[in-house]
Amino acid sequence: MKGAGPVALAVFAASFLGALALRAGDLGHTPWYISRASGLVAFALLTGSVVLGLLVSTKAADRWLPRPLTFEIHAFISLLTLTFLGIHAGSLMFDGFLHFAPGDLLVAFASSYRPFLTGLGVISAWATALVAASFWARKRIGQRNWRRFHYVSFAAYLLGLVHGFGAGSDAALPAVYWMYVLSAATVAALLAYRISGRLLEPAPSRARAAARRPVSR
Amino acid sequence: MAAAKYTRIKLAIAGTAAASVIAGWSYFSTNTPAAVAQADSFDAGSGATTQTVTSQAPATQKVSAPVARKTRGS
Repeated sequence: MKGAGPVALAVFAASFLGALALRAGDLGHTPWYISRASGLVAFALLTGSVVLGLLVSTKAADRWLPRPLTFEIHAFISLLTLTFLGIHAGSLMFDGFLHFAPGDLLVAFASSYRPFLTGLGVISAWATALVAASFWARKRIGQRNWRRFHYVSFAAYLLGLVHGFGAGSDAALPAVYWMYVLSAATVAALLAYRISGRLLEPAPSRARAAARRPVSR
Repeated sequence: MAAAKYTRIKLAIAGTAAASVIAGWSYFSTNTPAAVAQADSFDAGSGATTQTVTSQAPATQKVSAPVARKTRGS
């Protein structure tokens, strides 16, 4: 995670200052356009994070990518996903049509606009935030607990996918539709690869692998 | 050296993501769905949108009907 903090802080500061500057003017539909674009980018980043995480756990990319690099980029993209989720949700507060209040964006199912699908997005965002935060708590909570907690990321991904498909304004656009399909297919294929690998791997081999696995990076 | 390489990769990813948002913003602002214009007539006071029927209808047949649920561009 070296270098991730300053980059994330810079993006956050730029977003915050940008939001303040935008609030002063007549924004029209601008917040909505930004929210749509940042939502799609956040989903693409979430996909990237989940895919890289699965590549680390399955060791499927070890031949082409050094695992420390894969892990480092995986952790960074998790953080970046959070930043763009912040832009996605935060820009809606400036939207003149939907009039989202902070509570609508922070509390699941509190929004009057498509409450169920928006609520799924809120839960997905919180789950993504908790998983991203767990990278820093890894040593404190222990490797085993950290790995177990990491399963939450699959729920975050799935809820994000349903939120995007259901509540997203642009899911009908061919490019967006195929992005969702490609994303879901890639994650499903890697997940199947991981599960089948676990099931086919003999139990003693798993025990040896667990014994070799370092407690902390 | 590895740290510098990692930082460059991270900056490239962050830059691509930020550029994608700007590109998306630009695309959406020039390809506004027709439904957005409908949403513009949203009446915040009554919580209803005004729909105007214009196709194949004389000018006198302007119909305003309340729509219970907010919809926009989807």
